[in-house]
Amino acid sequence: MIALLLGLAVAQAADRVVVHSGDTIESIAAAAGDATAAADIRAENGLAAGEQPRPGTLLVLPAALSGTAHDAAVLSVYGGAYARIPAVGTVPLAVGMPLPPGASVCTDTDGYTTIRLAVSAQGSHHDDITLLPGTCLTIQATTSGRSGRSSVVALDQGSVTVSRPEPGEAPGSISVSTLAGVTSADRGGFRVHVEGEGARTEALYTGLSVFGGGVERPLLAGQGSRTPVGGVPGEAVDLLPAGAPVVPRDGAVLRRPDFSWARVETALGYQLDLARSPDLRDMLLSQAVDRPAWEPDRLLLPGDVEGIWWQVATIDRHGFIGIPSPPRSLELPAGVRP
Amino acid sequence: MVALFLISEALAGPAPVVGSVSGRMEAGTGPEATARTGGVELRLGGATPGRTFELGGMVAGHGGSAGFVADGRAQARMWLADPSHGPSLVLDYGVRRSSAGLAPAGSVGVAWDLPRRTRTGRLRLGGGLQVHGITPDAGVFTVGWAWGPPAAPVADAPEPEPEGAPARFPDDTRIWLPHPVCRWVSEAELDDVLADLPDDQRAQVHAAAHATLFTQAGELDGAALRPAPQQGALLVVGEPGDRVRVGEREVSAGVDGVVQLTVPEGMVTAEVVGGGRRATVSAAISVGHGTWVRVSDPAPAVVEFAAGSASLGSEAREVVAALARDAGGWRYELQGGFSPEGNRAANVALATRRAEAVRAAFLEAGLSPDQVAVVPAAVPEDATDAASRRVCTVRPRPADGGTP
Repeated sequence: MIALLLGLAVAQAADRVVVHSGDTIESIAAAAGDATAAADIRAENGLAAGEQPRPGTLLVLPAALSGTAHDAAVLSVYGGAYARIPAVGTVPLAVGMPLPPGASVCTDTDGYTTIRLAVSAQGSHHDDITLLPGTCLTIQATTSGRSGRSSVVALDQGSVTVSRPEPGEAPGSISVSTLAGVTSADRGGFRVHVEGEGARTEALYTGLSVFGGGVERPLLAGQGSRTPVGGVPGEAVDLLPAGAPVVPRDGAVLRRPDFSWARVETALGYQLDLARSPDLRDMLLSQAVDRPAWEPDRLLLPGDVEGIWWQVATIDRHGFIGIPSPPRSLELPAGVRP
Repeated sequence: MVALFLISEALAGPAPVVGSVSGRMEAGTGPEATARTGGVELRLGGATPGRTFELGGMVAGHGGSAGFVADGRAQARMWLADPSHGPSLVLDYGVRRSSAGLAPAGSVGVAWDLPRRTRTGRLRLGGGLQVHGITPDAGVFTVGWAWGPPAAPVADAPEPEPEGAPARFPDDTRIWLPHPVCRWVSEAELDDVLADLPDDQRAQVHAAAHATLFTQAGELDGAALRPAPQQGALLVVGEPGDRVRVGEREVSAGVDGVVQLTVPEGMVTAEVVGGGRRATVSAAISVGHGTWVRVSDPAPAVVEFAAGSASLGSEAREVVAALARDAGGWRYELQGGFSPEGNRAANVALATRRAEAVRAAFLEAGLSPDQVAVVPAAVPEDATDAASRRVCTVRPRPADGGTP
């Protein structure tokens, strides 16, 4: 249904592409299907004749080279979240709400939301991004065309997770820009965090590139890098593995909210995520803890869920959060579940 | 006589009294109605169960060219269709007294009640054929006022639900209680069945009963869903042996140390008692949500003794009494202690006596023997803070299955 909404809501926004090392305007025009369009691309982006952009530049393609632009849409919301939509104003987020290019989405300190960005023409493939509490981003472009899906967002603050594509899903380009640089991947499965003086990227399931200061830093799956504002991406670091979950066991009824998992040596802490979908797109909670256990004093969970899924990831001493454990499912007790 | 019999039969029991008064006109050629006559008739009867029949009698008197005539007849009225849309068929038969003497007489007619403005009164128009003996001799026309409850429709249409009436379930409503009850119970049995359940299951089954299917026994067609109250779930996470009180309800924690309650939306305060602690926790309950609230474990307590003494002073007894009062289902481990000065063997014996004295005080305060256990004395490793060693340490231990 959301795909249908997206299909109906065609917006006037052009494709944006990230300039990789070695790319030229001419090669980008050729890749976009019209080798003669180099001048148009330069004109669109204010480049002088013969001028080449630096790696990490987000180039706006002329409309003739762009795919079909769509509105993004809200896939899930939990807690406080709102959108600032051009010509509409600020509105609370609701599932299915269309988000045109230029719309900003923010979560409160207790809010989570997942936004469906680009969707393939058939609606079967898509790119989703999850905002953790205290996050604001602006949707710059969500398009699909012959060359595939493309999504570009500007992350102003907070943390986002770009969902791992589902098995068999075609790749789609996703770029997250911050003041420090750009993270660009042909597939989802990564995180970007805005930090005090830069940004941090963690490549979880696939390789990607981080750009900053005109430098491209490739990351392999399981690596992270930090980019200071005005600087270049730091050396890639290996992310720590997740500690194997111990309790609750998979499929258990959640009576005591006592979570524990195997300790990871050299870990600074752990991040535990709770969601109401096995793909963790429908987030309920993300909690950082300093020991391999979490026994919350208070926990509030909605009862109208198919189940609860949880996963844990390890935080290393540099603050990088590793690849999460495979999610485990939980059932809510009868009486909590309606 | 027949009329009186029928009237008395019809009026016997709970049948409502019905009747009518009509102006009556006869026109015909029979020996008793050779000219138009007019008069008044009174019909009195009772409606039978189902109200598609009325049985009763009529008396009528009227005058005309044939002189004064008086009728006394038994009558039966039958509605052939919905009384609000169809006529009733009237049969009466009895005697007529006229100048010619007594003679059998009767009539067959129809009447129409309209409009039905009130429950107890309406205009009735009637007409029929009168017989003298068995020979038709006159047409009869009546216009009058009928009273009594209107006849019910022939078909047993359900009565409309009164607007704004409180929802009530039929007396034979059954409620499905899930595991471990697994059976239908009547609403009257519900509380008793729930009371027989272990504390940790009661709330769960009760909550499920709120959302269960209510139906008339054996008739799934009559199923209705009982509206769930605006409630949420509160799960107090403590230890086995804890007792949780919310309002008038007190529930003991299950083997997992959790008490689950269904409570109204809004702020809820629960008192948790066990292991010597009496803690109050509050939570904002949200409809359709589960709220888990964790209670801290109780801390060990100490019962102090004077130097060289194993006797409990009044202050020590108060400590023991408070711990006993708030024990819940917890156990206590008692470990006597001693300050390091003096003979070691005598001190260990003193420490044991201190623990035994505390145990005796607990038993006196009402705890069962299996709730208090004395463990070997604590031997001090150094001489610091001697006074703090002259104690019996009381360590709460949750009921079986707990972790502290």
